[in-house]
Amino acid sequence: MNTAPNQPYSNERDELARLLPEPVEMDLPSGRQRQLQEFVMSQIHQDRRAAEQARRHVPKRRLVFATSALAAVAVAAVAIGTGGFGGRGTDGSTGFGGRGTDGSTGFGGRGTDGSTGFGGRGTDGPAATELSPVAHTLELAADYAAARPFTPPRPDQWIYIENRNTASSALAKDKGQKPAVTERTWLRADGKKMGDINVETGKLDTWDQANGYPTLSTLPTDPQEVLNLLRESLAPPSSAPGGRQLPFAFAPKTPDELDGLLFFKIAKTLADYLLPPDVTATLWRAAALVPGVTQAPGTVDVGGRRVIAVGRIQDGWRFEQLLLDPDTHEFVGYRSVAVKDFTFTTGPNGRITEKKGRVQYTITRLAAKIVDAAGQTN
Amino acid sequence: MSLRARVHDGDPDAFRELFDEHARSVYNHAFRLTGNWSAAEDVVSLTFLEAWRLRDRVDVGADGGSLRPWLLGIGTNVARNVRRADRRHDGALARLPKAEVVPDFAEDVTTRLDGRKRLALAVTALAALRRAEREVLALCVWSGLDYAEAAEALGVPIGTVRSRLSRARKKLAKLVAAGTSRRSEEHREPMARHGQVAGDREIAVRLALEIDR
Repeated sequence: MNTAPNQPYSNERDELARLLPEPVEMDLPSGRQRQLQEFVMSQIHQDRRAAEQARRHVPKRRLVFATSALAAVAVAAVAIGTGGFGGRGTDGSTGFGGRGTDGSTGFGGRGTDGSTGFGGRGTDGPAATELSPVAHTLELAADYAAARPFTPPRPDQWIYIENRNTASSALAKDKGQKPAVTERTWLRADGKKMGDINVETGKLDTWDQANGYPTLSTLPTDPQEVLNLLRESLAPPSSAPGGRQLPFAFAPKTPDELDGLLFFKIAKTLADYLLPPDVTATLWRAAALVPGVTQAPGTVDVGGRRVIAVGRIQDGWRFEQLLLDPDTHEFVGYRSVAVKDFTFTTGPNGRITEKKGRVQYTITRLAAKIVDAAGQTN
Repeated sequence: MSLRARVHDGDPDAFRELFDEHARSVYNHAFRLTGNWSAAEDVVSLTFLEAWRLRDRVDVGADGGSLRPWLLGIGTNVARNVRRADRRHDGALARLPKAEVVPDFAEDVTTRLDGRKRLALAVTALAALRRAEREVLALCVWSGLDYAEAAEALGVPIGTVRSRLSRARKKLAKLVAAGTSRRSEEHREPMARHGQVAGDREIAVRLALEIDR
């Protein structure tokens, strides 16, 4: 496997090896390799069983969505059974991550089948009056977003996002995570490069990696269509040929988990990008269509600031919330709060309990701009 | 049937063999990229899960070389995301096997600390490199891949591997000549901070939920 010594460039490698200390080569700690292997194998077997089951009951049910715009909005406040995970195309080829080598394209990039399509909503007067409080809040957020001034970036420009991430869970404490980190990220608008300030060195790093901006900035502006695209990209593994989108250990196993991921993904997209106003508005409206979304009463305190919190109970114990300014309904951030005691049984140092009321983490948006070069902040 | 073909076809036993054969390589590669043994364990689990997920992209064609470059490439991507580990989604944590904070045997601990120190010696120098250069360096110099294998692992042309290595060498040579890397070594904490950031497991879901990243 080594290059022949007379190849001109092998010197490069030897020279590098000489400049650096010989790295230590370790085995996994005793018993640990077996343990990790068993974990991986159990996940693989689980995935195969799921695939087997999916093959057996293929009745390809389509998601039962409400059939009118009005009903779709009303549905936002109520968790509904979705009648299984159907509704995906059969090619299932969207791929998830573009995490480097696989070169996949992420969700989007192909049309929905149109069979669920109910077009633009909210144009007929009565709908507005029937909005649930949470849908009303999210509609205001959409309106605010839609009215922001925005000049689309040139392909050589960068989207700069600065977020403050605070970890306050018992788990984070147990693991010695930094309580707060300011994350500065640059995404080149052509979608091909990313950059960040390396938290260890404090220096700017840029690298080639698909960042999703071209796809996301051209999402359809029909909220239901966006939701369908997201749902497809998150669908459980092996429900269709080639349909393994998430590493299956984390793929949703119930409709509620899928809805939780949908909501999280919408929130993360709002937090990690600066998208055109119509797309941002659509994401807010799509959030309103995720089953189980509710609004916390009044306002909540986030770092001394009163904000509106809209979200859903995830995994039965965390209320994960999009945070909005109470006056403008501008995006403020995202956070997760325990709404009942929950115990992790496999924590690194034994059992760890998250107490009801404890904030798990908070992401606050500090800046989102279009700049001319990575490293620039305005 | 070759191991490659069996992996491609999703034969669980093939993945068991793959794990037996390459877990150690992935583990060490991950450590060199993250500077943290416990993060490296997470990278091992996630790398093999990713490999299962991406199995139908394995080329069963003619040459049928080792799958090690492919796995190290996946491991590189996983480690890259683990390093960007500042956002959390706790729900997934419980699904990864817990890491042992300190191994049981004293001898083991010493070796591990030694590994960390030795890596720390390289860190000042490595900090001068771009991420892409560090990754190529770790693959070619420390994991012993040749240029073609590194190119396959990272999904870039061979010329890119070559030029990254060349840039890395020039930068490091300059630093060594200036004495920078050696002088700062003595004062440096051996990766402690880095480890805390990287030792994160929730990142798995962040990794999973990245849109097109």
